[in-house]
Amino acid sequence: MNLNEVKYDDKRLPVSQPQPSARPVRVHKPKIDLKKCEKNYNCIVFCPHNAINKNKNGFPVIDYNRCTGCLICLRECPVFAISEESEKNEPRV
Amino acid sequence: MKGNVLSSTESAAHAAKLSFVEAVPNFPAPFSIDITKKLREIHNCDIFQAESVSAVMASAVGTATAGKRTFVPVSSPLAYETFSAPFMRLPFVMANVSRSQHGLRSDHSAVMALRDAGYLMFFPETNQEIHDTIIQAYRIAEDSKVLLPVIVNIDGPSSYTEVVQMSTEQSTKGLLTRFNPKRLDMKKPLVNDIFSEEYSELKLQQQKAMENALTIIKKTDEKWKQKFRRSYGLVENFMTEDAETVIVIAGYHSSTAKAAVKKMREEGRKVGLLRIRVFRPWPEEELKVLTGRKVVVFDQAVSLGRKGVLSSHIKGSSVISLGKYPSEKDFHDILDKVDKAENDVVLWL
Repeated sequence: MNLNEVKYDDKRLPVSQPQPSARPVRVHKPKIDLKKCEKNYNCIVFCPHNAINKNKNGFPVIDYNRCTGCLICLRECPVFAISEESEKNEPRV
Repeated sequence: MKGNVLSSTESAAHAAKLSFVEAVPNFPAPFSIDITKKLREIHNCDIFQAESVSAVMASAVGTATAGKRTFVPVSSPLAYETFSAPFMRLPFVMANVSRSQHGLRSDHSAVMALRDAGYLMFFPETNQEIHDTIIQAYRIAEDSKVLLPVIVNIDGPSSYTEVVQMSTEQSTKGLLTRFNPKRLDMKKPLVNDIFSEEYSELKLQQQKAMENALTIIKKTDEKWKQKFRRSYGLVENFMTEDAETVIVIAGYHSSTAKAAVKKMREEGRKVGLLRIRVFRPWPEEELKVLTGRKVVVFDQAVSLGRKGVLSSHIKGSSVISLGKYPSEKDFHDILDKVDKAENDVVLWL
């Protein structure tokens, strides 16, 4: 774009659509082993981004569009049902 | 002259009331608290407490994005959010009770640090002008050709009182149309994206908006003149027609300087004064009066490593006065010293 030919446009504002996924900022990805899970729901309570919900059977499920990979769920789980994987994507700086 | 006797902060509060402000984020800083105090007495709007200047600016960004007419009384508003608000193109008005960067002395060093941030900057002289400029500022800022925040600088500590002719709610209603550049919508979420990929283009749009602002300010001033028979212009020329030496000054101390100029005229010295009312956008055209004359720029802020902030815009001698109230005699002494020197000099008061 040639900036010298740009004209004033009152619709041209620094607004953009919100990013649908938190995935680019995630370095570690938590995973729940449902065989070990005892439905304590500590993960749901402590998740700061409200990324974990219950499914039909009452098991916690992670919404990876919201999960930022802070791994608080992993730390809070009393039965060690949550494990971490390294995210393949390069993190966004 | 009929009118009310108001201090500068009170006249700012009355102006905010007459421009129908809806949201006022407030931090109880010295000086600027007087505006909020008065506003709380006379106007019914959302006045909310913030715990820092940073929070004040963040909430101003929030309320302006939500489509509320926002008024921000501050003193020394130096925070990260202050610099990102103009880039988001949010039209709010900030009444800055000017003070020094350190301590509570009166000068322009804090507000001049914002000169490159993208605010329209006004330096009114009298309380009447403060009152008028704040109401005008909403019309200018909310114009779709501008959409930039405005700083109206009030020289503090601001307890001096003057007679102010207040405009009425009916007359300002016609000037200020309904403000609603609403961007916040729960169904269509948007981000005020200061990390935008098109950074340079958006910055250029800001620059174009600044250029547009020059004409909008003039138009608003004309409209104001029709309605209230008061007009200010971008700069004020005071006895400059046949002047050999011109003092360039901004803000409240121009009143003192004008008195000094009048006295010097009686002594037979050809001195004039040019008061810069609008500092951003810079009134290049109006300053062509200065060509071929000896110029003394009276500065209340210093750009360390260069010289005064105003005088780095204008060729001429520079006088830097930080945190002081210059008297008429000071202006006499300054002109004596400048007349003696052959080249441009930098003096500290």
